[in-house]
Amino acid sequence: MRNILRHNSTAYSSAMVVGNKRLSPVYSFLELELLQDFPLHKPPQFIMVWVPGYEAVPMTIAGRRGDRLWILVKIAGDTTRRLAGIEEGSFIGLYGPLGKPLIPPGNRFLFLVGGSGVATALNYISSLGCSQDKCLTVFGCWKYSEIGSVPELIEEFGSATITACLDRRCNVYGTVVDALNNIDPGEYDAVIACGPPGMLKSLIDKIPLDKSIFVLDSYVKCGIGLCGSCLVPGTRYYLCIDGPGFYARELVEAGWH
Amino acid sequence: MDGLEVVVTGIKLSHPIMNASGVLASTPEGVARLIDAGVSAVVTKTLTKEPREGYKTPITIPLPIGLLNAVGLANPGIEAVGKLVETGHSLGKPVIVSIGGRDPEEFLYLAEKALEAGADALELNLSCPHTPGYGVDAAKTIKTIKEVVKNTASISNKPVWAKLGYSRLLVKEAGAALEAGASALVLINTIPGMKIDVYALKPILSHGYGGLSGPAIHPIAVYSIYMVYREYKPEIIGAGGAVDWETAIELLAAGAKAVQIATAFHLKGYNIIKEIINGIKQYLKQTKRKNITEIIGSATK
Ligand SMILES: Cc1cc2nc3c(=O)[nH]c(=O)nc-3n(C[C@H](O)[C@H](O)[C@H](O)COP(=O)(O)OP(=O)(O)OC[C@H]3O[C@@H](n4cnc5c(N)ncnc54)[C@H](O)[C@@H]3O)c2cc1C
Ligand SMILES: Cc1cc2nc3c(=O)[nH]c(=O)nc-3n(C[C@H](O)[C@H](O)[C@H](O)COP(=O)(O)O)c2cc1C
Ligand code: FES
Repeated sequence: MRNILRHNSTAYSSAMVVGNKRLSPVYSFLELELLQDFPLHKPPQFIMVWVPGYEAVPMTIAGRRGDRLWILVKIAGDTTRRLAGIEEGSFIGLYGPLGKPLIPPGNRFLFLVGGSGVATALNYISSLGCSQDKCLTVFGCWKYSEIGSVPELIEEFGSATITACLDRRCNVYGTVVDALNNIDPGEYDAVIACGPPGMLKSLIDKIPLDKSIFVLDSYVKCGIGLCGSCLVPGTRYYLCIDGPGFYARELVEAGWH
Repeated sequence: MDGLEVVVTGIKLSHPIMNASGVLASTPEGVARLIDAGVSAVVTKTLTKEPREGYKTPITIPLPIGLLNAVGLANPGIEAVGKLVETGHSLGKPVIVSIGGRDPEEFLYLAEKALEAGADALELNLSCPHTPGYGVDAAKTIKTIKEVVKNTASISNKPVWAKLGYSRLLVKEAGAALEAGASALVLINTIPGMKIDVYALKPILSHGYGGLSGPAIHPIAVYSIYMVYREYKPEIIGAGGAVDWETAIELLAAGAKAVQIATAFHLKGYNIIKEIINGIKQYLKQTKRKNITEIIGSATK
């Protein structure tokens, strides 16, 4: 039992919002000060963020230094809207880290991201020691107006960036998948894709499955492998304990749909 | 034969470790996952008459001493029972169906459905501490406990397990359940608890309070099992803070014939069953015992 107390790698901590930068109408970058001891994480692990008066939602840890932790919030519904607009000095709660670390070998990486997947890319970019000559991020959105200064943030973290949207003002007119017409994924040591299921599925025929990681999104309630909410469709995997990152080959072979 | 077989209410188990209700087994995939993990029987999530969404998040809070949860009996409803039982049976394991009614009639209805589906035993949830109308609320008095157990046992050709939580009346409640026809007792459920965020100054669980489980309640489980075993020597399935072979053995020594685990899956992952089994095997060897049944209730003698 002594071992359990020492090895319980998941913890609850209160946190104070010490920075909130609105990057676009739908994205905010939050800096949190952890007010209790909180275990270290590795990508693509996540936390459950509790906003008092609202719910707890799964959020990727975009970065961590000492007692500072960063999250990138994309507005989806009530809780994320509140979080995106939260005032500095507000208190929230969080628990984690949740999920399994999954670190690909190599030093040249291609990130294909859409929606809230940007946070996962940020965490990998800083953990994998990326620089703009070694890592490329293709960031897709429906509308140009959603993009705001997200590409600058990705570049600051250490990756070159290409934007794709259904608007001629983006670097690529189309989706993340269309952007692959001009990029050879085979040139990279690993491809890390994070975004809505539709986007990931349309990548299956375009990327080398053995060296590609899909970071999935699903409905997470407990985050600790008990409630069963986060079953990955078609498989026996649970996102919160087996994922959220999976090698694409493993997912496809497990019957993911 | 590795000396780990036990027979609980006539059900042969290859070893004494199964999951506790509330872990994954609300879908066929969850049942299969538990069997992959090595449980000797599957206990389903508590099933209610209609599907329940459960509470909003946060529904769990990890603590250094265990876990607090208020899931709110989220479940697909009794109509899902067929697929759960079928999956367990197709993978060669007995399936214990946990049911949660709001009154004796509802328990009866759920029992009929579970038996029709081929349940190997019924587990009556008389003890969930945080879902108004269910659990402890549906078993408020000794009289209602008796009524629920008697009703279900009277129509059941399969064993009926009554799951009780710790209370000062536990020994009496256990006696009442046994007298009413329960074949076994499952001891214990979670203990009511709350955590307040000291900066937000609010309870964290969306429901406010919940149930405490894991290492924090292990001594309470050992005590509860011991007291009930000493009094009636019934068949007991122990639950509460079993997280390794040692904590599991304690429950057995107090009088449990088998052990259920929930929180340990969170603390140690899905390899925990195999880890506990290996630990128990080593322990039997170390203490020169041939059979795990030699341990059961031995601390009460
Ligand atoms: C492991 C993981 C990591 C995540 N990391 C981040 C992150 O870093 N930043 C970020 O902004 N978001 C992230 N998300 C997504 C985020 O958790 C959801 O957008 C959030 O839970 C929505 O909550 P809400 O109350 O604001 O909206 P709700 O009112 O709950 O939902 C609004 C809409 O989004 C849909 N929705 C809700 N939850 C999800 C979900 N998990 N997946 C897909 N659709 C959903 C609902 O059906 C609804 O249409 C992550 C999700 C997971 C599973
Ligand atoms: C997340 C969670 C959900 C639970 N759901 C149920 C349930 O539906 N029915 C029930 O009888 N007990 C439920 N329990 C209680 C457990 O079955 C068990 O009695 C208790 O957790 C003590 O065991 P542990 O310390 O191994 O977790 C739940 C426990 C947890 C942690
Ligand atoms: S969210 Fe509860 S099991 Fe994954």
